[in-house]
Amino acid sequence: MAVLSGLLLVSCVVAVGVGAVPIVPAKALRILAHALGLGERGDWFHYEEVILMTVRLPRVIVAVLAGGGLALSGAVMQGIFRNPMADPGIIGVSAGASLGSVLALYLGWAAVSVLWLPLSAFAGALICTFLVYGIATSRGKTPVSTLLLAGIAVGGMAVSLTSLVLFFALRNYEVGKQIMLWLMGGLDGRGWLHVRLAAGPVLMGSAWLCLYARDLNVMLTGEESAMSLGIDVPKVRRRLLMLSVLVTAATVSVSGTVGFVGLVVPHILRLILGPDHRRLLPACFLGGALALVLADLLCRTLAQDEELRLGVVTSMIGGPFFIYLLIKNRRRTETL
Amino acid sequence: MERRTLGTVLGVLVIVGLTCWSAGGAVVHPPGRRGNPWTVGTPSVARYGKARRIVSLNVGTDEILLSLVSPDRILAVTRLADDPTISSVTALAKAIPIRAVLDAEHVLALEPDLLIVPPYVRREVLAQLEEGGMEILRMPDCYDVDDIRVHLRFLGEALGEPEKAEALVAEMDGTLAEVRRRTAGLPRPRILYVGTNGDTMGRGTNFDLFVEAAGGINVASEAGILKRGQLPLEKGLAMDPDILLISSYRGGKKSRERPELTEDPAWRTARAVREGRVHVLNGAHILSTSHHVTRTAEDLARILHPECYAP
Repeated sequence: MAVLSGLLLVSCVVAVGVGAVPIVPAKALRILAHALGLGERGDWFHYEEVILMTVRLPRVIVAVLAGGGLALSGAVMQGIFRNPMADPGIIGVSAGASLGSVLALYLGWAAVSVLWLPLSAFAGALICTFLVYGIATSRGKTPVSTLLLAGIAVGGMAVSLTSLVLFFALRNYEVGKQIMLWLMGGLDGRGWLHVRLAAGPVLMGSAWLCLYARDLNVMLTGEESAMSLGIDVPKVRRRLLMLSVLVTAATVSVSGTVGFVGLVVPHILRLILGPDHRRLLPACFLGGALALVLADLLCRTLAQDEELRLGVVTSMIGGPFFIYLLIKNRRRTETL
Repeated sequence: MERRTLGTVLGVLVIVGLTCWSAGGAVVHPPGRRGNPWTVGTPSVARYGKARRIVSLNVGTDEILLSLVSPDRILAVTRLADDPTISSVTALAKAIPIRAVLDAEHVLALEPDLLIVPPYVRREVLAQLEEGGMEILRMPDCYDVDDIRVHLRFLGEALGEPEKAEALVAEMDGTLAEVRRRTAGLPRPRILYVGTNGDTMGRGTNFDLFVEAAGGINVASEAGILKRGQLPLEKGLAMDPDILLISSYRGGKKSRERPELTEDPAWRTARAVREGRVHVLNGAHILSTSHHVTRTAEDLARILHPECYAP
């Protein structure tokens, strides 16, 4: 945990110091120290301070919140469904967020206020998930298999509606381009407003989820076994699901669709730390944050003229790793 | 739903609500979409008259700026200003030292005293630039020649060059009037514009206005297509236009010796293609959102009625 925290801190400092405009890391640190009231104003240009404080720092904080939230809720989803392939998008959160944001861009709400885009994505994610939950719940019971199937159906519908809106939006090149870029995920343009939007739900939701680590551990032994140990499995599962959805919705609303972080980071950390959720959940938050800060750093530095999209980079790195996990899992099954 | 879970959900929603409420101060209110967006002539506008480090982030405003103010007042224009397939000011742009890109860090580092941004700039980027203390003029959407007149007069007023702006408006109107005068009473060929994505320009577009001025008939308008719309291939063939037009702008791709349209098996059956009446319109004119757009009318008149411009 200490290693992860240290790595995250170092990566954040590097990420704040690197960007389109070169600012020497030592100077970046002095500017940050000055902003925190820990040093005198130095010989830096005003624009360097502005870039650091209004462009890069909030962007890195959003990366920490989004990455941390996605990985943590991914670990919880995998625990709830007892399925290593589960991730926050499985019950339609990402598809709903995409539909909400695409509508905001197409209808012009996103041009009225900075708030409309993340709020529409947040609302889309919640509506889609509650729809999935409502369809899958009957007489107070929510079978996991029905929940997953409802998630696939509703998510598929949301994706097709998103495509339909995109089809109409493409008549206006710039609107179509903005929609495509949002769908690819990215943190460019994220400021303090996005930090304030995501911080509450992500931090509060993540802390709350970590309190259920013991229950998740017991639930891994099986539903009946957990019930016999005094855990009200349907109730705990419902709470965990709601909190995970809220955290994921808040992260997707500020970062766009970012794939594989919620899937791959918990896997890696489970291999290193083992399945104990008391260690795994906080580690997932730190690991996810680290992964997204580094991925965003790659987006900013790999291409000379234009930034790469975050969702593209995470998928390009996460995809091959996921395939590796599938092959490894298949070989293990075959040897049994 | 179980009571504590519901409480949790409501609690988080309250936090989100409070966050949004507290974040309200960062919201940038845009100018009106059309009409008179910037209240021309107010003191808030006149202050830009002394701007000496102007940065433009749109090729349309590059073109207006370079015709309106002296180059030493302009710090940066876009890279598109150097592309002859989309810009009419490639020569003038050589005097400007920097090429600006729509990136918050890049723009903040330039430290402009006036930043002119296109209508499509993302709200969050605009908010960051405002937070960085930028003076920003956000151009509204530009749909037709009337909008361009409004933009020219506004920028002229804002930058302290109202007479030059009026001269540019007069130049636009003069070009159109001259084209109309030369083509008056001539037979009107039926023409169709085909965009690279299979779109066309119908009623309510600049193109429609220019075709009418240049003594032609826009068959897309006849077919009831409004603004810029998709043209089904079958419909395009059924229209049987006398002349087909395409744009020279190919989105940065290399130009071809023969237009793609003439190699399309379906379009090759069209009378205009068979009889070799496919013409390439200057993209820098037809796609312009500045006073250079009316030069399209002259381009069209030269294609439709070359005899009017014979020496």
